[in-house]
Amino acid sequence: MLAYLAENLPTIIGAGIVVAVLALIGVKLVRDHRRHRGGCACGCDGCPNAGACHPK
Amino acid sequence: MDIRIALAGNPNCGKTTLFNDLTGSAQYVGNWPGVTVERKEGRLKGRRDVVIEDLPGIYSLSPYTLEEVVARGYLVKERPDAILNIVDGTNIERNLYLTTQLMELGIPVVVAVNMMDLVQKNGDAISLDKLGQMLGCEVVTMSALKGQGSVEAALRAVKAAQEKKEAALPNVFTGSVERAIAHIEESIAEVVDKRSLRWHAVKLFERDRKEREALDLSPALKERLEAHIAKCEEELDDDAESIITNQRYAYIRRVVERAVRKRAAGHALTASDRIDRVVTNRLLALPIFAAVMAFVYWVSISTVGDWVTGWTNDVLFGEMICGNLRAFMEGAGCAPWLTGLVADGIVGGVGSVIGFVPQMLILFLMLSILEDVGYMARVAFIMDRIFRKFGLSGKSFIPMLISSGCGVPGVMASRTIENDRDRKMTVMTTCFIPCGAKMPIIGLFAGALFGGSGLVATSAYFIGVAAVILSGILLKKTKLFAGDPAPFVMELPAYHVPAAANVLRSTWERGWSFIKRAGTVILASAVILWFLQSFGVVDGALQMVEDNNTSLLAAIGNVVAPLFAPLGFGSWKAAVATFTGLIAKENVVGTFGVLYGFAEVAEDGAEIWSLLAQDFTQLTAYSFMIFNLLCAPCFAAMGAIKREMNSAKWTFTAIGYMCGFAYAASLIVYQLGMLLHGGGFTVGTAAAVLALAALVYLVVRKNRHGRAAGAATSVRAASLE
Repeated sequence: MLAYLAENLPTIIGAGIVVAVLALIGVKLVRDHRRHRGGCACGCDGCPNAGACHPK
Repeated sequence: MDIRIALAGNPNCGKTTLFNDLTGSAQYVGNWPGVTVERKEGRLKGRRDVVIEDLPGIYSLSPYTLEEVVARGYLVKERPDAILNIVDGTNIERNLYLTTQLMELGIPVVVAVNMMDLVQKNGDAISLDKLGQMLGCEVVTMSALKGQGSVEAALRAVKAAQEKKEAALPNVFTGSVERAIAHIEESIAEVVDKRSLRWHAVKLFERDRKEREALDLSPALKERLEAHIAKCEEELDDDAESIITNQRYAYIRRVVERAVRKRAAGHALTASDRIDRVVTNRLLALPIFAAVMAFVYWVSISTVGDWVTGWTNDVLFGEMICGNLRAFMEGAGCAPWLTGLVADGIVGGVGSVIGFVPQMLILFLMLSILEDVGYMARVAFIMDRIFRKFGLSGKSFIPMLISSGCGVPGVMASRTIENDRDRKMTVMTTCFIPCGAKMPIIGLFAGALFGGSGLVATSAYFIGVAAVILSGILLKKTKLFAGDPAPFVMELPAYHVPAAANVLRSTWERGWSFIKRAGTVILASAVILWFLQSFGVVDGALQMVEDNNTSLLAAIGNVVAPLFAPLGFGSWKAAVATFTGLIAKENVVGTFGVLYGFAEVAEDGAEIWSLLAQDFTQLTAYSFMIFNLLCAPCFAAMGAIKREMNSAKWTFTAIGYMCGFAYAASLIVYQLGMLLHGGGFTVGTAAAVLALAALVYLVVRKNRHGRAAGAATSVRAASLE
């Protein structure tokens, strides 16, 4: 087992990083969805109609 | 306790610029009506106890437009502690109309005369003392754009709020009107807030529908009020609303005569007037607009944009990131599948999209400059003349201007259109204008198959405009959308040197949002796509495949690909790219990046998109581009359409219409293009001819449901000068 891990360590670390990045993206997308930040390409901070997506 | 200061004023008088300056916010500043649809809140810099409210620009407190309803609702119901009334000094007569109404609310008012630098430049002079005396409130000057006097004006408003110093009621009304209003005041004194008694009385005199509904007066009282109003109308031989308007303007004329010294009449035209004589000329306006947009797209796609994007693709992503990353991972002993996933999937997918950021930034920068300098406001005016002929109002062009950045706020901006049919039609057509996310598709095909042609990129914009106009014509002839276009009133701001902060902020926000999406949605899509195109069922088992034509993704894509065969791009890769574009339009390019091995090609130093060019001819590429520009927008925009339509039926109608229109346009272009290139007359050609005939019929047929197009007369545009 240890030998297998040692042999594939770069792959395991690399795959772990990819999985972690994907997990973070997933969390961000879910959080944005809950905050009604639906992923439009203009950003919400300066949007004149942000209130329509984020009612107080 | 917080002190709330409301910024109120006419559209485009500098409220949002002032708001950004006072609060340090980065709200979008635009010089056309409808930019601020909702009120915005921020805290005064250095005074956390002061809340600044940016209200939508309004001409009056009548409830005719959404902006007026929002502003009036806030001022009357929530009553801020003070109003900072921004008055455009170059248009003082019209701006004071709102001021006379604000004074009646019984809220402390400070008038801030903005653009004083322009007033002085025009040779005019405003006496603040006389203006303050006549209006009965404090008057200050400022230049919001230069940030001069802004904080002082806000602090004066704070002081007025603390002192609860209500504005003295100016003597606006005379004779029988004043008597009638006094009678109404007497009658309603017990049912309304006494502080705004005058405002309620004037609104009731005007027979303001919303005010009558809100007060719910007894029938006997209504009858009594009506008697006062009718008597006054009879005496002055006019309707109540006109009487109030006329008396307000008569009062304003008296104020201006005393407080404003205008340069002698007959003075020479200003620089803005002279420019407008050319750029809004009936014959020259459209060719100039076409030339300006062609220049903008040519610069951003073909010249500067192409060089920078070329460097980003070839050097930054191709050599520096992808090449080194692959070498590093292989050297570190990572499994080939992981190296493939990271280099071909993630870097290939995300890199291909990010590669277009420079072109996009240059495009946005140039569009922002055109906006800020005041040219885009002229375009709305120019387009109003054209749109009106086809039954659409120029107001529909405002969402389209916004859509050139992103379709979502564009769709939402349609809510400023009062006419429900026009609003729905605008929602259905506004996404035809290529948004920022469609830029990579345009850049990709213009670069890969048309040698970076600026003409192809420009045509993409005008295909969107043509789709809007054609849709306007044919939809207006249907029962669902028939009717006269709504009147469109807008001011043409004086041309000015663009404010660097506004332009850069607007460009950066759009670009940064694009980069963020590439790092999230596009990255996740790229990973999924890479797995689906790298694995397939071989000998009954799921395993990695060498050729992605045998992959799972190919199997899925081949199911839907025949649908697009009549349009010339019936390959599974093009079909998959079209569908992944629904997640985000830039994903079309990301998908090609994964499927055509962006990273590998780049590493070889070969032309990045040469493999793509092998699968597409110029004609199929153009057909693909048209379809993807016009078909259903991304899910976020579809969500916005659903919200604005507030009906599943209308949402499906809108998306179905877009897809149908895109399919027909693409079919006509591809099939007739094939015919012209000697492809022979096929079933597809017959279908295209039929589609073209149907389109021509729908456009030229007689309008049986409404007045003849072009009959509307209420185009009004007022120059600030």
